[in-house]
Amino acid sequence: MPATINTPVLEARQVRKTYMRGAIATEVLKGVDLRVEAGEFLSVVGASGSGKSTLLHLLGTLDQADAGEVWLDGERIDQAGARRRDKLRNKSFGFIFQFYHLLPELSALENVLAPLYIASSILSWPFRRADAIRRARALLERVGLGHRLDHRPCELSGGEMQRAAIARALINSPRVLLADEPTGNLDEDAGADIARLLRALNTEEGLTIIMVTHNLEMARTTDRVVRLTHGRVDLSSPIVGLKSASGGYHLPHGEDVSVHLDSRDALLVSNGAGISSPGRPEVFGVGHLPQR
Amino acid sequence: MYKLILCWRYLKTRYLAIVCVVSVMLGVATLIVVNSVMGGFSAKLRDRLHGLLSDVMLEAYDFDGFADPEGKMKRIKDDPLLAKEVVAMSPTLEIFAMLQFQFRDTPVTKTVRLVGVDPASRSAVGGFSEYLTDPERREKPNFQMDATAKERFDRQKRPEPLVFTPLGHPDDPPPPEAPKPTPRTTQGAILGYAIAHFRDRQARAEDGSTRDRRTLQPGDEVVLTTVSGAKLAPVYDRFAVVDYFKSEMSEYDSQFIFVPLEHLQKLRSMEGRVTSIQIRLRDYNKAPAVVARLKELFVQDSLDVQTWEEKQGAVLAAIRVEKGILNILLFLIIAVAGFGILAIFSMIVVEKTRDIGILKSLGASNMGVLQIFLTYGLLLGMIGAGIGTLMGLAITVNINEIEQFLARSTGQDIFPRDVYYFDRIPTEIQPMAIAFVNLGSVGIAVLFSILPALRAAFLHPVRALRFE
Repeated sequence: MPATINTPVLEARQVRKTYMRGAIATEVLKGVDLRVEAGEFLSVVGASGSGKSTLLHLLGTLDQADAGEVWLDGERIDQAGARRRDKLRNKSFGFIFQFYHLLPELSALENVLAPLYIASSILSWPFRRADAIRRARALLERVGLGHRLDHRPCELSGGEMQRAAIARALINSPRVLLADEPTGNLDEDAGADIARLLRALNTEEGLTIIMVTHNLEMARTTDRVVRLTHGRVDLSSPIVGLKSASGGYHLPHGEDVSVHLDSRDALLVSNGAGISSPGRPEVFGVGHLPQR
Repeated sequence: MYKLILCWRYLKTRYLAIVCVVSVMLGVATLIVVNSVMGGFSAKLRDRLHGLLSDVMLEAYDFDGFADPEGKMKRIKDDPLLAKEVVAMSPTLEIFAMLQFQFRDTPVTKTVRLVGVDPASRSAVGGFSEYLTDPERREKPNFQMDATAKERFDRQKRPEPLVFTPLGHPDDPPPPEAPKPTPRTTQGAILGYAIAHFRDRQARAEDGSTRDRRTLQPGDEVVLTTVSGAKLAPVYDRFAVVDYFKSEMSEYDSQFIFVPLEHLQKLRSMEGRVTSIQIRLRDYNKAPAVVARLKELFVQDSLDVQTWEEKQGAVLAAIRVEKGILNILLFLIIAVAGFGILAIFSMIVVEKTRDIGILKSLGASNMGVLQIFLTYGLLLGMIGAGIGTLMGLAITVNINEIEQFLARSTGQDIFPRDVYYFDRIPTEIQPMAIAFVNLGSVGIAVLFSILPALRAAFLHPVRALRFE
């Protein structure tokens, strides 16, 4: 499945980021490449501190890279001015977070409307209000929260808050949904619901999703998995993705491999030449590259 | 749009914000009350200081006065500028004097200022008839005794004529014979209220107001001794008390005695001479021009021309300085409230750190976040100032009732009425002052919210989102 010929929606090129904590510099990202195609549901996995959230923040212009480039639809956005980046966050990206991050003073409906509030001046709002509310209601219905429009976040359960957050992220029809551990704070059932919802949004509406998670179970349900290890994309290690139709997967350099998880969450990769067989899967540890 | 919504929500849900509102409110209310009461006192004092003085006066430098006041008044009337501005004029003869009378068979002596006036023209100038205690006389000022006074006057046994012994050097030529008054043609005199009354601190009426004891009834006889015109020889005459003059300015009420101008001129052997001409203007704001013109007109006559403000300059300046300093001190109250806002706002920013991160992740700009907190400060300031203004006005309007209530419940006299001559605490609500206080306090609220707002605006979104 050679996807390289498609123009990526979002692309990171050799992105580097160093955090300073006092005099101690910690290099979190050491040159990460990532291409995300339209309609793709990509997950980024990795150990804590591997830089996966930082990568997400850089992609979504919440933070700025020290080196490297970020491109959105052929526009370089990492060097854009503050105003342009504010607008990108408002219109082109939708964020969802582990801790939902709803505004506690606003109702569910108002939280969903918040990006529109931000984009509207006090003069233009009255003209947009009716449409905006209709759209927000529809979105809340879509995520299954139609009956709790006027509830405050503190009156909602975790799963419900995350649904509201998803609706909020979608209100401006973003190009890419950036999800940072969306199920990390939820119990199994609620987490599975959210995962199903994201999957449905991806398949039914063609929403491009980049999800950071450490839940491999959940990563397995996405089209493609990128593993970050020590600030680099870990090509070697068992990157698992299940493109449901073919099971095929393309690495950044375009080689098709088929990957899946075994019962113990060990990562299995097989390439087109059939190095590994489903019957006797090869198990790769971190840092092991399949010999080809 | 979100700025206003969030401001409003923060206002409704943050109890800390109420502390800010209350501190601004108290500051504003205090400033308004103090300003109104100070304003009331100073307006009343100005009133009183103006009191007897006409807008502009033309005065002699000397007790002997100047001649031909009619001619001078005619010159004023003939001048085109002055004719337009001058509404009324009255010649006046003023001199120090000594008052003697008997109270319960004890001789009493007081120093007073004796003013000879023409009641009709003096009333037109103002500062005279409106202060008379007899309402009828207020309408038509005169020096006639009314029926009861006349009756009392006639009933009283005339005391023996006072023996007058002139003081002075034995070698001096004997002073001219003082004109002998004929007992039954005694002239009327209007006494300052405080001359004829004393305040009895023990005797309190039921309602708490003080009682004044009268020492001289209308119809009682008094002796006034003064000096004659140029020669300054002692002269005296008997006068009958006809009425009292109560301007509520103790300086005047305890010193002034009014008598008919012509009689005083005769007594002091200075017929046709006066010490001053009192002038009332149509518009007091034109006073400088009038004074300049008068000085020009009477440049030959060695007369002093002054407005009443110039005459009372020192006292008026003192009032102004006092008010200015008080206002500066009181504004410090609001500055203290400002620091409260600073502290509370900083807390709110810390508390809202994560929300600020959320807003930025949703596309809010730094400016937008800055504006949220500035608007918040503005709103707090405006609400505080608004409520404070209402509260201040309510207190000001009901200050006398509040004072009475406090006095009754604590047993402490907060506004001792015998210190002042007013029965009520005077207040004057000054719209300009209220506007300034409001503007100032809202300004301070915004000023002190700038620092926390800047902090909020430049929070890094990722760090803000991760803030625990």
